[in-house]
Amino acid sequence: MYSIIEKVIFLQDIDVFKEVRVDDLAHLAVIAEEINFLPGNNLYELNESADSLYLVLRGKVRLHTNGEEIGVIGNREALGTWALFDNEARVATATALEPTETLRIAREDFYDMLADHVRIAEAVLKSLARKLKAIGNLVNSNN
Amino acid sequence: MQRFLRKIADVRDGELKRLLIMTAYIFVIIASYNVLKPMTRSLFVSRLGPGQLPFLYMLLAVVVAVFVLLYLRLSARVKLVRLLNITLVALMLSLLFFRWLLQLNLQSATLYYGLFIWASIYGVLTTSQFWLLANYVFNARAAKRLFPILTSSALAGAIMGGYFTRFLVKSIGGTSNLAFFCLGLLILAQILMNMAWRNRDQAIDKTSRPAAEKDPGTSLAIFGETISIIKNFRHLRFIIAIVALTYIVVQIADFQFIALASEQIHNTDDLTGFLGLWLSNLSIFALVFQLLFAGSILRRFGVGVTIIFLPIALFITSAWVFLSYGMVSILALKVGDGAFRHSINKVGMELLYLPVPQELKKKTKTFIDMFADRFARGLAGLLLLISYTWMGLSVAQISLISLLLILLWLPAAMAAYREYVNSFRQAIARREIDLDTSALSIKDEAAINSLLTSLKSPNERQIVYALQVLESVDGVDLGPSLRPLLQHKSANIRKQTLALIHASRLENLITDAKPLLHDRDEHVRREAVRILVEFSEQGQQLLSQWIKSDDIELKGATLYYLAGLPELAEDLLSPTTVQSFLDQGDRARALVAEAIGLLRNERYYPFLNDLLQDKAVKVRKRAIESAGKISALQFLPVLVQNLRTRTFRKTAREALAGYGDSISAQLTNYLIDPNVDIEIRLSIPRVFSLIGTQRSVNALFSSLTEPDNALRYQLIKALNKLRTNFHDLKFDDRVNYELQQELKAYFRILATIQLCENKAEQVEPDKRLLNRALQERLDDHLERVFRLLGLNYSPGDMYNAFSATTSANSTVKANATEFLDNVLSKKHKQILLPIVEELPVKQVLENAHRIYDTSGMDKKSAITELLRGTDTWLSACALYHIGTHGLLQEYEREIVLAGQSPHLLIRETADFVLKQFA
Repeated sequence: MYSIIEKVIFLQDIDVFKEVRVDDLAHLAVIAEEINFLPGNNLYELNESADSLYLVLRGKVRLHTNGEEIGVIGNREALGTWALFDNEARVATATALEPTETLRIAREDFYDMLADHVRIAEAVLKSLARKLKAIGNLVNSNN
Repeated sequence: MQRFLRKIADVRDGELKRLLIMTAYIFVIIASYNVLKPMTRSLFVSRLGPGQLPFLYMLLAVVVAVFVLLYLRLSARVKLVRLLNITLVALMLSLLFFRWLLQLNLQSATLYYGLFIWASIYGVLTTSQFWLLANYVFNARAAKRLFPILTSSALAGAIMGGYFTRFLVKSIGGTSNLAFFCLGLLILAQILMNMAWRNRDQAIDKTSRPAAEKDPGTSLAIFGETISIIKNFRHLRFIIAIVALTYIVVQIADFQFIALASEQIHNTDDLTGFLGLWLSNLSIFALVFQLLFAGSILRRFGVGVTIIFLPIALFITSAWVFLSYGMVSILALKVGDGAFRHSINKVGMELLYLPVPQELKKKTKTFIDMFADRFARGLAGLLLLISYTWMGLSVAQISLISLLLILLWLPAAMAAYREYVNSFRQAIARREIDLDTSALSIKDEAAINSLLTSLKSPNERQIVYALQVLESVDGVDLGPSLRPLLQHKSANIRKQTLALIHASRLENLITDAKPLLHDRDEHVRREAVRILVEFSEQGQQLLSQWIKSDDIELKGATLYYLAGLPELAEDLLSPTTVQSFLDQGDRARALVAEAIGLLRNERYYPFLNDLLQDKAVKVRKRAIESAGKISALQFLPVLVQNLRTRTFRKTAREALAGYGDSISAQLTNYLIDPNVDIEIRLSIPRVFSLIGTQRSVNALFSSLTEPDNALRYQLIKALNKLRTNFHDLKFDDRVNYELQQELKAYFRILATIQLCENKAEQVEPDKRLLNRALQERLDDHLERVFRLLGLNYSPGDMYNAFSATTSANSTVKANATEFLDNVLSKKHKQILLPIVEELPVKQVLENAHRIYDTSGMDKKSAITELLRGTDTWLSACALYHIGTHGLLQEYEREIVLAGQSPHLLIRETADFVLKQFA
């Protein structure tokens, strides 16, 4: 069982929460649920409706589609971040490679919390805007 | 009396006193001006002769325009009531000064020029200030109903002012002594003005200030902007042309009238009396014509004919003056001017503006008031100078100039009318006719036809708009156009059609409205019930039948109607009837919740108490709104509890604000009670910011001792809102005290950051948690400092300065610092500038040590202070800092104490630190 302060330490690593103040991350920590997976268990499956973000605290998770590996996610890395903003189907299956501890943030809880804490919404939007700007700059420089 | 006034002008509760004061005020100031007008004119022509009038007209145009511009600039900077008082006192003193100069019997032309110009400024100032005040005293809706009464009072004042002059001039001891009479009227005006200010509609202050008081902008900006608007708006070009031609011709007629009068009457007092008498008589002509003929001419012939009445009358009478110069023809010319210009022509010209978008209309009217009117009068002076003074034309021959100008005026008027019809069609399509501010009703046939055509439009919003505008139309058979709309697929159109039928009392459509009693839309059914009951002789019988009906929808619409008529509801409604709705589903319960708010009858309050806790969101929201309307103390606890849930928070906040000052004490108790849910406590400052009274300010200040940072932020934010939205509230020295508290806390945190900072750890985010949390607290304190400064200085300026000082752009930051350096007092500058200038932290702290005692702090005492402080988040971060920095032994006792904290976050962090880092 992780304490709030530990969860805050983990959450500040997630890209979309980079602009969120640490005391606000404590609110996010409250809705972040701990879920453990045994090796071979799926966090989610391909084409499943995306409804939550996972942050790997300890362990390894393999991302794959139709048997083909896309990547491996390790300690303090997030997967399924866009599920917080978009309910499109999952584009890969995520399977635990070893005993894996995660923090899960469900989209519904996330939106409820944003409605109560406008400052968090503002910070998340700021992160997204920066990301879009960076992508825009990248596209421009490639052209 | 109120009943009588309600009948003739729809005077509503609470308006009578204001109306009477304002009616007396306009009467007094217009009467005083109409005493001054003949007095200054007769003194001028009898001492200097009519030959000087052209020079005077030109000078007047320039001087009054410049004065008005300067005055507008000044008025934007001074509070209205102070401005009105200063102006009236200045007018009284200057009046006495001129009276003293007249007593000296000086023969200087400057005195008579000065007196004439001063009287013109007097007229502009007193009347414009009256209407400015009127916009504060009455809101837009009340203005539409009541301004015609004020206009009538002004006309009565003009009539009486002239008669006072005529009958007092001899008995008072001569023309110059009329100044004393005017002085008496001015003193009375000042008393009435202050009474009006005290009795004004306070809600206007709370919402928005009338546009007239806002910064009028620079004269050149207005001039330039209006010229470009006129260039792009053909219809406005014709209006300006007509206005300019009107003023030139009228000024020439005025010259002819004064010139002839001075030729025939040589005694100054007789001349004053004559001018006074005829000013009154002309006003009577205008009044009689307005009351008896203007309405029917407008209805019968429309705007097109209305706006050519004046030029035709002036053409005929000017020709008469030219052919047969004498008192009779000149008086006919003035009667033509007086009777038509201030009555039918004024209404026609106002109607010409109707299709002009409101914003453009406002700007153009300002331009006309400030420039076109005076420019035209100045031009008339120039024409008179050339023709009368230089070319030596006689007073009669000058009529030829008027005749030529009127020949230009008539085609301009006809072209303006054609443009009016086109623009009107377009304005309906764009929904640009302002229903709130237009004090006119539409009577013109072309305009009405355009509106009726719009009812066939495929665009729903256009139809609804036309239906709303048609409420102002009288005497037109709307039946054939409205019948098809009662079956329109849009519920909103059906509802608006019924509303128009009701407003215009179209009783012949009652049979067509009947099927709508069973309409699928709730609002349509309500309108149908209203019409059928109010248009029927057996209305009460119908209500008692429908309220017992099995059709729950009809029964609901009947309940809503009855709720608006408590006396009738007393007979026809009972708790049993209301109870019968409650098991009929959410919609029926929501209706009951809404109806109880209208009924305000204690018999039904137990139902509302239950509905305030209803599970259905819509039902509970309506119940909360009703509780706010009733404002009974018994609902207060449930309303406060509704602040806890986001879904109901906004509605509950507004409902509580509806109670006003009466619940300030109870709300403060909730606010400062630590046992009350924090979400409720955080919501209460916003309730105070909506109530907007001095008690709200006091309650918020007294709660600022609360240690919770989020609550303190909400309290200061609410004070900011009060400062921005309610201009009369006082924010005293407590602001400075709170400012000192914030700055003290700011510097202590800054010192703590410096003491705990270890540059080698900057790359390890886990070890920087405390630093980051402290930096964020620093930002919070700085924001609160600026917000508090916003209570002493302009809130907008301080907010912008805060945003700029936290900007990453160094130029923006430097500009903000420069701005603060110029705006802040020396004391505030001394504390704040070192922070925003980004001086080295060490230097900032050294400066702070001198003001606040932050010396003697070391790392241990700083961390201990955080651990023992009231900020639970900083305490938790400090514990984590101890763990990650291997300081467990040093703070062993503090960690044990933290393990016993009443706050879960602190206990949990202490346990974690002990387990993880021991």
